[in-house]
Amino acid sequence: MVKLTPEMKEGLIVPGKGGSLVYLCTSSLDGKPNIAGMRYVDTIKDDKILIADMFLLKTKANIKENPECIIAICHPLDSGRDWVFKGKAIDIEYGFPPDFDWYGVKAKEILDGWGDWHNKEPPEEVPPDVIYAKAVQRGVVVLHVEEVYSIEKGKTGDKIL
Amino acid sequence: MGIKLTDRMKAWIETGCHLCVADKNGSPFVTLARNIKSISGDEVVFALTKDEYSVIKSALETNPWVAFGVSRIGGIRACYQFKGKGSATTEGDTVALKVKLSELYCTKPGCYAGLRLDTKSFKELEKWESDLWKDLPKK
Repeated sequence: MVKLTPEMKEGLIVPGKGGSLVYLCTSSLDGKPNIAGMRYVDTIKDDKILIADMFLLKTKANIKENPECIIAICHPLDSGRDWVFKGKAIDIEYGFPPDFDWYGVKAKEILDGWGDWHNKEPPEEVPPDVIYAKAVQRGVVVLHVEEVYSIEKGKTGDKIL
Repeated sequence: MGIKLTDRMKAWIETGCHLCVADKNGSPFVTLARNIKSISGDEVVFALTKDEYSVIKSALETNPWVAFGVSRIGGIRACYQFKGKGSATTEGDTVALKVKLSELYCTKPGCYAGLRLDTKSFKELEKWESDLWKDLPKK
């Protein structure tokens, strides 16, 4: 079982608090990949990464048909955060039964904690020419991490966890 | 409609990219492409080290689709997803991964998220981009 390190947890928070921009990488069931940058990121317990479901389109469709998913640090990258997290994801949307369970976390716990992420952690550091006009959050993506590998120069593919 | 990348897109791609592939069952793999060999027309050629390529090799051999985004600060400043089919050839100590682009998307959060851009003419694309952004990566 994977246990994220304290350094990983420190890196997996919103950029404005010293965390990271991450890439959320999914695939359709027949193997067409998709990659999109995400600002709202956090962790829960020792093996789960959370991403806000805001403006997700293909990512959302992919997760609904195929839970296999990767989160990779995009920025900053060259300060020891050369990590790729691989596992199974679900988009816990409003309307899920409160006691819905995803590898040990409940829908109510997730939505109560991160379901209004724009107000919880306003995007103050996001440049004005990138920020959205209005927040619309429909849920929270929860990645149950099963493997972590490196993309550090010279060590790409090395298993970390 | 064929894809023609803008000079700004090319400049950001040249700073390095996160590449995402998937095997034919939909299991994704990500590697970092630090070096770009060439960009011309609708083709981007990445120069991967053996370890960078090792992560995606088995998936790419069964499924040619490659999606990529710009790494580091480019993930914020160049909100694009580039998608196409890739083929790899070994050249000495490096692997040249050629991606022939067929799809281009905006990933800026908000009203343009998911907007398909390869449906625009090149002039329309240049104008659309320059209305939003003009900055180039620092050398």
